[in-house]
Amino acid sequence: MSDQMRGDEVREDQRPDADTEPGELAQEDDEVTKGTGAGVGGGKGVTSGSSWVVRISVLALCLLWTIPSIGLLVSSFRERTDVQSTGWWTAFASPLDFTQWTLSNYDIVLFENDFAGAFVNSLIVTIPATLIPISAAAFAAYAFSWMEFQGREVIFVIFVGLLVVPLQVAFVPFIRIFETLGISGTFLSVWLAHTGFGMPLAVYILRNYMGSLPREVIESAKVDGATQFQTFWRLIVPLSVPALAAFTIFQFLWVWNDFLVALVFLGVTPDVKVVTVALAELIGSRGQDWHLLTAAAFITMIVPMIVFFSLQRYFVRGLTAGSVKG
Amino acid sequence: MAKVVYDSVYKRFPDGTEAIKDLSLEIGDGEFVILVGPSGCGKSTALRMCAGLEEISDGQLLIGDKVVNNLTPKERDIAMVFQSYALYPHMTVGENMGFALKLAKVDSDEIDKRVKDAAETLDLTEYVDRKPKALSGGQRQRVAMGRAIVREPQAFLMDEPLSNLDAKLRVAMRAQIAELQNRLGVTTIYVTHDQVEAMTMGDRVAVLKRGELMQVDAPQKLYDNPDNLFVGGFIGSPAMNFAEAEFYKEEGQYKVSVGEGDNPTILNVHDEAIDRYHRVTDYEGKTLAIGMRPEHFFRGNGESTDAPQGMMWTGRRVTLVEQLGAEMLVHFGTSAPPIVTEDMREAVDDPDAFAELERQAREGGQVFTARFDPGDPPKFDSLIDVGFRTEYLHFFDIESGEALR
Repeated sequence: MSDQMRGDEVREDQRPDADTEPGELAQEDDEVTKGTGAGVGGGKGVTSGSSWVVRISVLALCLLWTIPSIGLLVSSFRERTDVQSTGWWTAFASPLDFTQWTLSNYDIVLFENDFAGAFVNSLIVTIPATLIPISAAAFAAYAFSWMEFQGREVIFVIFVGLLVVPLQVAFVPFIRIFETLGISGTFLSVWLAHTGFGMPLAVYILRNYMGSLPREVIESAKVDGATQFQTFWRLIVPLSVPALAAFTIFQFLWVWNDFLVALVFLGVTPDVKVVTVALAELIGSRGQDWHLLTAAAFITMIVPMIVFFSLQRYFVRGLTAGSVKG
Repeated sequence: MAKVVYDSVYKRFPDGTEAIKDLSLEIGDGEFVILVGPSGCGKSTALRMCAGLEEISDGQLLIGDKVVNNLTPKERDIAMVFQSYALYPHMTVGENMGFALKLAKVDSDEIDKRVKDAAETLDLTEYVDRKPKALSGGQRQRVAMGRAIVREPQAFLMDEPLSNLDAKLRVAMRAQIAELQNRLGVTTIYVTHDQVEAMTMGDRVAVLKRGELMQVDAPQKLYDNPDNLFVGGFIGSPAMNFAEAEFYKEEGQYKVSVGEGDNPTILNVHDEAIDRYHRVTDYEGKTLAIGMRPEHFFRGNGESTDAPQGMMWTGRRVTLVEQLGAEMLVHFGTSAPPIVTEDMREAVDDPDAFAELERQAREGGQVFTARFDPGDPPKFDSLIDVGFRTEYLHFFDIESGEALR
C-alpha cells in the first residue's frame, strides 16, 4: 500500500515545474524561430568545425543559385552588341562607366512588345485566382476540422484525393463547360480553373493547420457564446495566419508562373495575354535577341521575387506547420 | 444564478461504452460541488455535458428550471474554466475577458466596466493590455477565472483548473477560488483528481467510479463515513489501509482476526465501531474487509500486546519512513491479506501500484501506512509495535464493497 498515495506532496514532486502552456500558439512559434537560430549559431565549442562546414556550404549553394540571376539582371541593362560579344561579368570591369548601361531593352520589351499590358493581365489573373481559392478553402478547412457532419472524413479524403488528378485531364471538360456558360477566353474562366486546381492542396494544408489548434480554445469560444461563423472569423482565421499566408504565397507564385492554364483558357490575344505567354512568344519571334529576352525574363521574375523575399518567413513556417505538425 | 440538476443522465458513446450511468445529482443554487474520481471515471464528461460540449444520451439536465439537453452552450449561459486555460492567444487579457460580452452585444462601456472590475478582483489590472504569452502560469489561470466571472453566468464549470500550476501557486489559487466562489455565490461544479482540492474547496464532494456516482456528501462526512470500499480507498491521502479479516464473537466480545496461518493478529472491536456499522453483526463467522485510516494507528511500546480495545502488530519491519514536518508516515510490513478487487483497482487509480498490491497479495501480506506525530522516527528496517484504535474501524463487504451500515 505504500505506493498508493495520491497525495498532493507526491504529485507536486513529480512535476516541480509543471508550467506548461498548451494553449499558446504564438509562444510555440517564437520557440521554433529561436530553435532554428540556435541550430545554426549555437555550434560553439565542440561542434564549431562542423558549423563552419555548414556555413560555407550554405554560402556556396546561395552563390550557385544567385549568380545566374545576377547575370540575367546585368545583361538586361547592356547594349545589344555588348551582350552578343562579351560575357555579362565583363561589365564589372568598369561598373561606373555608365555609357555601357541602357534602359532601352526594357523600353522595347515593355512598350513595343507590350509586356506592360501582359504584366497588368498577369496581376488581374493572379490576384483573384489566389484570393478566391484561399477564402473558399478556409471555410472548407474549418468545416472539415471543427464541424461535425455525416461523412466528414470520407468527403475530406475524396477532396484530398483530387490532388492526384492531373491538370491536363480537366482541360477538355473545363473548356466545354466554359463554352456552355459563354465565358471561355475570359479572366473569369481562368480564375475558376485556378480555383479548382488549387483547392485540394489549400484545403489539405489549412485543415491540417486548423485541426492542430487546441480543442479547448475552440470549445471555450463556444461556451463564450460564439456561433460557428464567429468562431471561424474571430478565432480560427487570426490563429491560422501563418498557414493562410503560406498558402497565399504558394498559390500566388504558382498562378503567376503558370503557362499552361493561361495559354489554354486565355490564349494569346493581347488583351488577355499574361507575362509567361508573352515571354514564350518573344522567344519564338526574337529568339536571337538576348538583350530583350533577359529584360522580359526579369520583368516576369520580379513579382515572384518580391513576394517571396518579403514573405518567406511565413512561407517556411506555415508550410511546415501545416504538413509536419498535422 | 441557478441550481443545476442531473436527472438520470446517461452518456453513451457510439462504440457502446457508457461514460456516465444514471447520474442523478442536484447542485443547489450557489453551491460549490466537487466532482472527483479516478482517471476515466467520467467526471470531465459529466461537466462537459453540463456545458453543452457533449451530447446527453439519456435523462435530463436542468439549469434553473429549464431542461437544457438540446440547448447550445451559448443558450445555457454558463462559464467554463479549462485545464489549459484556453485563452485566446491573439487577444489581450482585456479582450479575452470581454470576448463573451462582446459576442453577447453588451455595450462597450459596460464591457469595459466589468472587465475592469474583474481585473481588479483578480489583481490583473496592470496586465489588461498584455497578450497571454507574456503572462506567467498563475496569471493566465487568473485570466481564465476573469473570463468566467465577467459573464455573471448561471453557473461556473471548472475542469481541473489548477492542475497546470506549480505546488505553491496551487495552494494559493485554491484558497482564492474558494473565497471568490463564496463571495460571488455562483453555483459551481469543479472537477479535480486532487485529494486536497476535493477535501478543502467544496460544500459537497461527489465521488464517481466508472461513470457511476458512488457517494455525495460534505467532505468530512465522506471521509469519516464512506459508503463503500471504493470511496474509503479513494478519499484520503495516504489512503485507508484495507485487509481481509474474520469476524467473530468470543465471550461476548466481537473480534476480528487478521492474517493467515497459525498466528493471526486478533483485535477486540470497540463497541462504537459496532454501533456505526450495525450490519456487521450479520457477518459473524464470516470474512469481511476492514478499513483502517493511517492516523488511527498508534505506536506501541512492546509490552501492551493484549490491550483490551486495541490490535497490536508486534515486531513489524519498517519499510519506509516519511517525515513531513508536521507528521510522520511509517510504512510497515504485515501478514494481513490485502483486498484485491475491482473496487480496489479503481481506488488505487494507478496500474503500477495495483500490480504491486497484487504481488503482495500473492506473497500473503501487505504494507500498511501509519501516520504518527513527528519525533523519534523508527529506523529503516528496524522492528516496531503498532496498535490500532478499533473505535475507528470500518467494515465492508468484500464482494459488493458496500459499507456494513
